[in-house]
This record gives sequence, structure tokens and C-alpha cells, in this order.
Amino acid sequence: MTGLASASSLFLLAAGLSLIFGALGIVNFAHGSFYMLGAYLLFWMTRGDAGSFWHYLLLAVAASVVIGAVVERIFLRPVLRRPEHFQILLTYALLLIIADVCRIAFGSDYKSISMPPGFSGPVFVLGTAFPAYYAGLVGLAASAAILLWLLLHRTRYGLLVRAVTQDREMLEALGVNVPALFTVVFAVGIGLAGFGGAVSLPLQSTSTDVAVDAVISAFIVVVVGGLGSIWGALLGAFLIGEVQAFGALVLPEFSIVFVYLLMALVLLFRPWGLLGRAPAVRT
Amino acid sequence: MKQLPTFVFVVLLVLPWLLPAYAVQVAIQALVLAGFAMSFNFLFQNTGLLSFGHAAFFGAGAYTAALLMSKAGWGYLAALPVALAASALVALVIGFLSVRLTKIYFTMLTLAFAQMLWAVAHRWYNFTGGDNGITGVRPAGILGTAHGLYYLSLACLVAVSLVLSLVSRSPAGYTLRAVRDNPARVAAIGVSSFEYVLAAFVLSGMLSGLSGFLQLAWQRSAFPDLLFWTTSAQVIIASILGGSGRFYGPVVGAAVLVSAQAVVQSHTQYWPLALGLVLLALVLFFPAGVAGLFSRAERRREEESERAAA
Amino acid sequence: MNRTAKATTASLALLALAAGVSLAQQPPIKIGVINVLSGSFAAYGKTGKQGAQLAADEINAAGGLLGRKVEIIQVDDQAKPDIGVQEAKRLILNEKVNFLLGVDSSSVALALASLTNEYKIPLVVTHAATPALTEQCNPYVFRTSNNARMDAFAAADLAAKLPYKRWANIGPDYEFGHASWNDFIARLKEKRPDVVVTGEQWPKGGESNYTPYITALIQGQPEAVFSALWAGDLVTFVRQANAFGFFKQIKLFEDPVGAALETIGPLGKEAPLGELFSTRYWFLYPDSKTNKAFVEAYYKRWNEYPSYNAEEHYAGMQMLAQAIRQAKSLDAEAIKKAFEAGGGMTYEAPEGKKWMRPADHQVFENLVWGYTAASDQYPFVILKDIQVIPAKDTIYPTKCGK
Repeated sequence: MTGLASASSLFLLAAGLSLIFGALGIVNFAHGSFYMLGAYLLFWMTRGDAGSFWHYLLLAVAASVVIGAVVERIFLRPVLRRPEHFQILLTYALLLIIADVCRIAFGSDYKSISMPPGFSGPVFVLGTAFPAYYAGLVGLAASAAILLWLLLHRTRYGLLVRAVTQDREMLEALGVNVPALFTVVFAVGIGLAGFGGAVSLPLQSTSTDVAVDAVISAFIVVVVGGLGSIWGALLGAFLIGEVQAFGALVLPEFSIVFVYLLMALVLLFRPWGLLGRAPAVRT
Repeated sequence: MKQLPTFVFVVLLVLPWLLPAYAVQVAIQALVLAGFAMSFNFLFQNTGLLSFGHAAFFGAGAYTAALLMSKAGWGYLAALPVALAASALVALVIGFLSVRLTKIYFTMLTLAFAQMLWAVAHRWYNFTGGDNGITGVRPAGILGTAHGLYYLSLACLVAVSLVLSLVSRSPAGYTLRAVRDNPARVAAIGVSSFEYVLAAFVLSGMLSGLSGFLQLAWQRSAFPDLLFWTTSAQVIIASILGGSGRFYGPVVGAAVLVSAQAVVQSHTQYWPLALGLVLLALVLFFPAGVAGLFSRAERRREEESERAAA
Repeated sequence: MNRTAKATTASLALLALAAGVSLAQQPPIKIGVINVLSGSFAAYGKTGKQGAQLAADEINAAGGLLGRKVEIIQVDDQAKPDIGVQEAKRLILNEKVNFLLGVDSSSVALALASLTNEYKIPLVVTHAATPALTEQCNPYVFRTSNNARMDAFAAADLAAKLPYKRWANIGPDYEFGHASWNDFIARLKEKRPDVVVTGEQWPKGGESNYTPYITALIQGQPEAVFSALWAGDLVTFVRQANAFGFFKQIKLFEDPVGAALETIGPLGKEAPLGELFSTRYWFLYPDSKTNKAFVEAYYKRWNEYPSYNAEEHYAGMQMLAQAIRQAKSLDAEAIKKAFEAGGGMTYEAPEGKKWMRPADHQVFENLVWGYTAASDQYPFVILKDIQVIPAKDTIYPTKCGK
């Protein structure tokens, strides 16, 4: 049950990363810092008062989307056709810059916020106490997953996004404005990350270290679930959440090794992830 | 400017006598990272594989020597062959499992393995000291002094350069680059690319262990940080900053990175911001790295002199 | 006056002027203060910095040391041993500091300890808590703050008096967390053989998701939980545990790094009430003149109340100053002798009396617990019903000095 709650915040974090990799082919190292930025933005807007939580949540997400679009247009577009190591360096640079900018703007102490009113106590599921906010989080993540799926599989834009994952050149030949499409997808991915960060603010104290931890967790989830697959992100988040819970109960000293072991095993036997698609023709 | 490497070498030889004490310490750090970056870049340039787990070999070299010196009373140089053997062994195991993958999957797997090694070092308190590390390790005699360690690091860098240069220019080197550029063709002529790439991986790992061995002497201690992914990131940055397409690019990158870090850190705590901005500029405007800047200037000068002669 | 008197006065005046000029030109005594100023523990580095600065200002206002001003140079070690070593070398070789002080991170402290012998420079540690630091018996390493072992032993003594039999643990998964728990439970079991351990949880440092650990703890049904979680980890854990109604069922017993102002400040109204928290220094205790004066001076200078890290840095600086005055020299050997003299240096800090054991250079002092309670006066919880464990009960044998 608590595995679901852990999985929910991991999913929100990782879904964006997976989406970005699937469509743009970029491994976004900066993803963790956008997650952190979402949390900081929400904190700044609400000034630490949980009463205005829901009003500002949407605003914080919108801000993340806009920032994502701007970043893609200015920094990412020039390097999209370059070799991968430049993209990795670029996103790593963005990770460093955003984290330090937050440090300068907000200081280094822990920022957090109380649970929004109405969600501070436990609800009872099957007889055990379960924090209401966690239940809310699971609900939010599930809604996000369904919304994403609908967008990708039931709209024309979603069709374009799925197409560009498979064959970018063909889409360009068909006259689709692929660069604009990329900007939109990236912005949505960043919006998801910002959303994940913002809703996690009542649960954890944010600081500039969060960015680095978050991006590693996101990588693990996405590798396990499958780069480019939303359901993969969900499955990956769920698996990692369960492995962590299992590890905490069974072998607390080495639970962190289990997670990396799972990552390694998936890479060894099914490198494209459990729900990823084997790459088409690659030399 | 073919004489450039020799000229630089001569400068490096006399540098400790010209620099103040702290600058010599920074120079040693630069030499250590330079050797590490060259070892990393050998693999990256010749096989196209971007490893995010080279910290595993760097740390293996450092920890092996640290353990032998502190728990078994070995001397520093005596521990060197064992340190090299240990990092080569770690590279063999990780490489055997990783080299069959390509591109991002290879990168992720090397990251996973290095993190596993870090996690073990971090928690195996009774053996590795956990996050208390192994401290108070100092080479006896002249190698325990700043000048002694400087010349040892310089000698190691020269040795690593010679070895890598020889291998790069050998038939094996050509085979590697053939595998990088057209693996199907290589397979078609019956050459087992796996063995070649694995051998390159092990060589790269072993020489990275040499750098870790030197780092231990400089730091006088070994901590799990040496195995953490940020160490792997640093060597990637040094290589690409200097220009991974040029043989000595990583050396230039390491020197620039270490000096810049030492200077910036003494004035502000926002080094990550500074580094991020530099990397941004690098990727967007100077993809050939710092070494690329020199060769562009060189080419321009040649063009001008040709035009003048014409 | 007559000519001789005039001449004498003139010469004396000239001499005084010369002395004054040469005094002013005497180089300051430089102390390199090394803290974590970035990352998740940066709040501690900031307060440590402030405590040290206040001490330096007070020392200078009183005329300096050995006729020289004291100057502190602050650096950030980013909690990384290699950065710490690099910055320490810069301080020693470039800035020519005479002493190193501070250090929040145990790994950095151990790494720096390796340098003290080589460069013959004293290191005064005011935060890093691993017992291993002083057990290494370095001649020029001195710790003026309590360490994890003393904290754990004092905790066990207090816990033995409580009516709880079923204990569990949740601690950060690095050496400090493990050492604290191991020392605590060993001593507790000695005094209370009826104690039962229902489980141990080891979240990694910087963990953002405590739910699996919280539920595992609850499942074991302990009556009380010992915790060495501190800093951001404690804040995150408390928030998430609150959501589970954890503190309604289980008592929390916090190690002396718990009730730090850097932690209970951000927790604000969410801190659980009626729990036993400890801190190395609680600004409202003791009710002594020294403490009141310190709190007032600190508040005036920095517009906030002094946390334990601020007070420990302040006390460390003052003890070092005392050693310098006693030794009348900056030489490492002389400082060492000064700290060790007369059965070990004592100092009346704002928190109470500190005594440094000559064998291992570890300071021992009373340790303070209290029950968390809401307060109208302050925006954070305060400690009421103070329980003091006397210093003598926290002393453990050392292998140094043989």
C-alpha cells in the first residue's frame, strides 16, 4: 500500500524523463533540477502557507511548462542533431546552473510546507491508517497517467508524438513542424517534473541536493520500465517502490544495492526496459 | 606546432620550482585528473562508448593501495602493481557484462555497476571503513613530499600517454576504430569486435586505477566519494572540455578544470554555477573544446601565411 | 619641566608610538574555519560560521591574543573529503593560517586529521561526531564538542529510567547513525536486560521517502524509537511520520543532534509535542550569566537565537584562545601541552563546563534532554522539563595516551 505512494511520486518524476527521451532522444540530466524547481516555485508562491496550496499548484506547473519551453528553444534545439555526449553535457550544465540559481535565490536551508488543509490526517483503507495526502498523491499520479495516455493515443498531437519517436525524418518530410513539436513535448515533460516536485513539497524538505538525487532515481525508474514508455515509467516506479519497501523490511543495510542490481539486471537482459520497445533497425 | 608537447613537457618539468607551494598541490591534482581523463578518453574516442562508471576503476586503484598500506603495512610503490591488477580485474568483470551493449544502455549499465561498488564501499564499514574511509595514508620517503608526488604523477602521465599512443596507432587501434565506425563490416571479415572492445575497456580501466593510486597519495586518505558518479562525471567533463577528438585534449581539459575550480572555489561557493556556464558555452559555441580553439587559431595562421606567400 | 624630563617623556612617547605601530603591524593570528556551506547541511555551516565570528569579534574587542588580532577565514568543504583537503591545503600554504577549526562532516574531519601531523597545525573540531576521530590519537587534533559515543551513552542512561521495554531504531545509513545506535543499545541492554529490539531501520542519508521505513517501524509495535536522524532527514521523517499518526502510538527519543534550531525551526508547528529530544546546547538552559550574555550578544549580532552549532563553534574558539594565552605561543606542541595541562583544560562555556581529557583530547560535558512543548514566545517548539546527564556518566575508556 505504501509502495503505491512511493511509486506515485517516482512516476511523476520519471514520466517526463521517459517522454522526453522517447520523442527527442535526449537523456535529460536536468530533469531532477526541474523537479526541485517545481517545489521551490510552489514554496515561493505560497510563501509557506498551505492554505493556498491548490491555487498555486496549477500556477507552479504552468510556470514549469513555460520554463521548459524556453529552455528547449534556446539551449536544446541547437544540439539536437549533435552527438549524444554534447546533449548529456548540456543537460548536466543546466542541472548545475538551475540548482545553484535556486541556492542563490532561496538560500540553502530546508523549505517545506504543511499538508494542505483537509489532507493532514490519516484515512483508513482496509483497516490500516494511511495518510490522506498519500492517497491524494496516488490519485493525482493515476489521473496524470490516464491523462497522458489519452493525450498520446486519442489525440492527433499524441499521434504525432508517437510518430516522431519512431521516425523523425519521415515526419519532417510530411511537413510536420518537428522542432515545434519537440518544444511542446519537452515543455510537457518538464511540467510533469515540476508537478511531481510541487506535490512532494509537503512530504519532504526541498534543498538543492534534491535535484541530484531525483535525477538518479528517475534514471533508475526509466531504465527499468523502458525509455520512451509511459506505462513503463509507471511499472518501473511501482517496481522500484516495492523493491525499496521490501529491502527496508528484509535487508535494510543493503536495500540501496537491490535497486542498482535491478537496474543492472534489466539492462543486461532487456536493455530497452521491461515495457520499452526494442530499437528498430540500428547498425 | 609539433614541438608543442615537448615544450609543454619541459615546462612541466621545471614547474614545481617556479610555483608557490599550494599551486604545486593544484598541479598534482591536474596531473592526476589528466591521466584519468586520457584513460577514459582512449575508450571513448576509439570505441564511441561513453562510460559513466569510470569512478569504479579509479576508486578500486585508490582503495586497494589504501587497504594494503593501512592494514598490511605495505609500502606505497609495492602496492602499485596490486592496485593496477585490481582495477583491471574490476574493469574485466564490468566490461564483460557491459560491452555487449551500446550507446545509452552501455552508459546506464556502467553507472549502475559503479554505484553498486560505491554502495558496498559505503556500507562495508569493517573492511573499507564505510564513510569514515581509510585515513592517515602517506607514502614514505620522497614520494610523501609535494615535489616527489608531482614528479611521480608527471612520470605516470607520460607513461600513460606513451602506452595509449602506441596502442592507438597499432593495428589493434585501427580495428577498434573500425568497430566504432562500421561494426557490421568488421564482423563480416570475421573479427571478434567483442574481444577488442573488452581489451580496450580493461586497458582504460587499469590506467584509471593508476590515477586513483596517485589520488590516494595526494589526499592521504580514501573515501567512498572516489567511487561516486560525480567522479565519473568529472572525468567526462575534463575530456570533452579539453576536446575529446584530440589526443592531448583531455590533458588540457583536466588542467583547465582543476585550475578553474581551485581559483573559483577560493572566492565563491558557487562553483557549480560557474562550471555549468562554462559547459553551456562549450557545448553551444566551442564543441571542439579548448584544444579545438588552439587548432582553429593554428589553421587560421596557416591560411594567412599561405595567402601572404601567394 | 626640565630638559631631562622633557627628553625622557619624548623618548617614552616615541617608544610607545613605535610599540603601537609595531603592534598594529603585527600580523593577525589566522584561523581557518571549515564548514559545510552548500548542500543540505548548509544551514549548519552558516550558524557555525556565525558562532566563530562572534567569538573572534569578542576576543579582538578585548585586545586580541598575544597582542595580535584574530582573523578567521571561512571556507566551504561541501561535505566532501577531497574538497576539504584541498581547501585546507590552500588555507595552510596560501593563507598561512595558524589553526584549523570547525568541520561539520565526520569524513572531512578524518581527512583533515591526516594532515595535522604533516603540517604541524592544530585542528579544533567543533561539530563532527564520529568517535573514531579522537580514537586515532592524533597529537594535534582536539575536539571541543561532544561525540556520538558520549551522546549514545547519555541517551541510554536516560532511556533506562523510562518505562519502555520495546525499542526500535531509525537512523541515517552512515557510520554516525550505526555507531550511535550500537553504543546506545549496548549500554541500554546492560542497564535494562529486559529491553527488546523490535526492529532497525536504515534509510539512506538524504532519503526523500520514508514511508517504507515508517510502516516497517509501526509493524514492529515498539513503545519507543531511538533516532539519530538529524538535519533535513529529521524534518522529512517527522513530516511523513505525522501523516501516519506515528507519534500518537510511539514515543520518539532523539539523539543530541535532534533539537537543533536548524531542524525544529523549519518544522515549526509540525514538531511532535511531548517527545524527548536532546541537543548539544539549548539556548534557554542553563540559566547562567554566561549563557544569558552569550544569547543576547548572538541575537544582537545575527538577529536569531544561537543553535548548538553556533555555540559549539563559539566555545571552540574560546577554548583555543585560552590555550594560546596559556601557551604564550602558536606552536602546535605548545598548544597541545596547554590543552593537556593540569589534568586537562576546563572552560566555562555558555552551555556549561567543558573538560578536555588529556589522553585523547576529547571534551566531556553535561548533556541535556527535554520534552518538546509548544510556546507562545517562540515560533518553534521549546524543551521543557530539562533532564541533565552529568558529564562523568558519559566518560568511556580510550586507548590513547598509553
